[in-house]
Amino acid sequence: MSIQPTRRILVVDDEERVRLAVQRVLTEAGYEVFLAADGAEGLAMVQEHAPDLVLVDLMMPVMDGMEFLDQARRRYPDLTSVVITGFATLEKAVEAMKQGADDFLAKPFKPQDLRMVVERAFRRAATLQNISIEKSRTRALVASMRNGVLVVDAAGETALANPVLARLLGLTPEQMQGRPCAEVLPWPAVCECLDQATHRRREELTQDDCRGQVSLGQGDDATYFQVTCAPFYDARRQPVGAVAVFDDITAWRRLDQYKNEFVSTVAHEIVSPLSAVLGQLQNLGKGLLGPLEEPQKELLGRARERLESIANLSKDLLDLSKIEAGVMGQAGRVDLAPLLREAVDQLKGRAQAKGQSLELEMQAKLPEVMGVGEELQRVAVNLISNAVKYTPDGGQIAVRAQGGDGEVVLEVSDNGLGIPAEEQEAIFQRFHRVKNADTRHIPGTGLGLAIVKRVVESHGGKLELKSQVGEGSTFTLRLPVAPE
Amino acid sequence: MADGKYVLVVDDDPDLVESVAMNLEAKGFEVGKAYDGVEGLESIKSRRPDVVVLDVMMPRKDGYEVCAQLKGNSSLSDIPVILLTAVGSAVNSTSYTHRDGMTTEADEYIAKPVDLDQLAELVAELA
Repeated sequence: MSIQPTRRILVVDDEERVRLAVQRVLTEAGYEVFLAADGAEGLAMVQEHAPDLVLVDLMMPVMDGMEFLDQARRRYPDLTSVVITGFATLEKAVEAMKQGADDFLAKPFKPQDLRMVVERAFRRAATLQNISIEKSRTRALVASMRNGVLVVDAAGETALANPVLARLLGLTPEQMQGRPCAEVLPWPAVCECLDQATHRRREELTQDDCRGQVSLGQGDDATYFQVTCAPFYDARRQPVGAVAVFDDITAWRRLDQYKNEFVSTVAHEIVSPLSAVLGQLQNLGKGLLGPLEEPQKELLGRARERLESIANLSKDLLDLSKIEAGVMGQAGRVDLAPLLREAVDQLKGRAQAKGQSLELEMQAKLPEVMGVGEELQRVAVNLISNAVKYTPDGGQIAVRAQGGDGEVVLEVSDNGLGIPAEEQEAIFQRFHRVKNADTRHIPGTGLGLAIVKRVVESHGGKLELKSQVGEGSTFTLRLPVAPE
Repeated sequence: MADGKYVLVVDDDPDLVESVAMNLEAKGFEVGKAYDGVEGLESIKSRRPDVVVLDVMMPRKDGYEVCAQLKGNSSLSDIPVILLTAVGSAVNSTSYTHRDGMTTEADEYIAKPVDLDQLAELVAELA
């Protein structure tokens, strides 16, 4: 328990009998009590003793209780007060409370009534103080944040905007106060998001509903924000407003761009000389520069394989950086049919070399999807080439595509090695490869499925995997159909 | 057959040009060499090749520009062009959209690292 200083109570009453009775009761209850016989004396004592509570009789000569409170509060606006009314005149008490008294006590009163009213007044004062601290704390927190913050009420009007956000928008927090979201923010999507947060029931909200990116300005001067919107609730759990927090991610985006450029430059610089060396090895191996013995040919073949795997890694890195930078191709309506045919054609040779069947089954008129054709084709190529790689000789691989229910479903299934349950999540991470006796000799970069996942996510699609070790794997990809 | 067919190989990497040439010559093609886009165009104008193998990333004039100039010239537009793309991707890249919005169509493309035999097959098909 914390030790509290003795609380001080000032009693202002013209009847000495009442003053002394009150003093006795409250002193016994552990309070320090000061007495004043009229309003003028009371005001002097308020100044001198700074009481925590004033008990004041409403009916006094010269200066009545109301006037006393009025003058006292001018100097101490937060003064806690209880008025004492004679003859149980409730009207007077109500009026006093309207003007800011915290409670009233009707004469005649019993000692326990007095104690109870005083305790209640202190409790109320403590609550008010807590609320005021809480408010001040929230304001200080919001004002000192480096993120922009906007709070809207249930009507969508600005209840609070912090200086960071106001500065971004070229306004002051005061100018934003009370104005509708759409008038202060240049991003209708954020206002919509706030509106949804405020008007949807709590259980309907998912995190994704209210996250997004917006930008301010153009070109190199553009600033990018990650926006998170969240509702807040009243005591009955009804949303009464929402908060939007704007996190400046411009530096991250720039870093990401540098990373992509760096990776793509390095990958380029690797593929070019590799291409030359691989050509030289190929010519050597064919004996174009003189006959070779079998062991020499074999070693050259192995060297080529190793170099090819570096080249493939570089190509995958290049593709990934292009996909991340959004420069793989133009977004638009995409007909998957020709992409799938091309992907299957590309890999037919490899499947045939392993004696595998590679079938493509497509619905006659496949609905179009929205996206980047080059990226979606890359997804198909990666999934099919994985199926070819991880299915033993003579196996079966099927690619199926059909539309319906607002989505296009692409399925790539094989009767190959299958993926152990504990690996089924990890295989979508960059550079993760299932390593066991069966896969040891299968070359790969560990980037193929990471690319698939990235592309599917950026297309608003879903990716499912069903696999059983020894029986095979089925990757199912669902993409939303393009709007009419 | 490749007999008598003349192929021009344009790439700024001399080792690559040499490897490609050696393999094509072994298959009976006659091979000309150029080491950037400007040289390539000059060579094409002085002796018309049956097929051009053209690297995309080159100094002075890149492969897309050379391709665009060939395809835009009525007397040269029927020469088949195989692009060597270093952009390394499984995607179709015979067509390229320039900054001004113009599109160049090559006849074939092959991604680096180049499989010399696959390239030779393409050349034989187009020659």
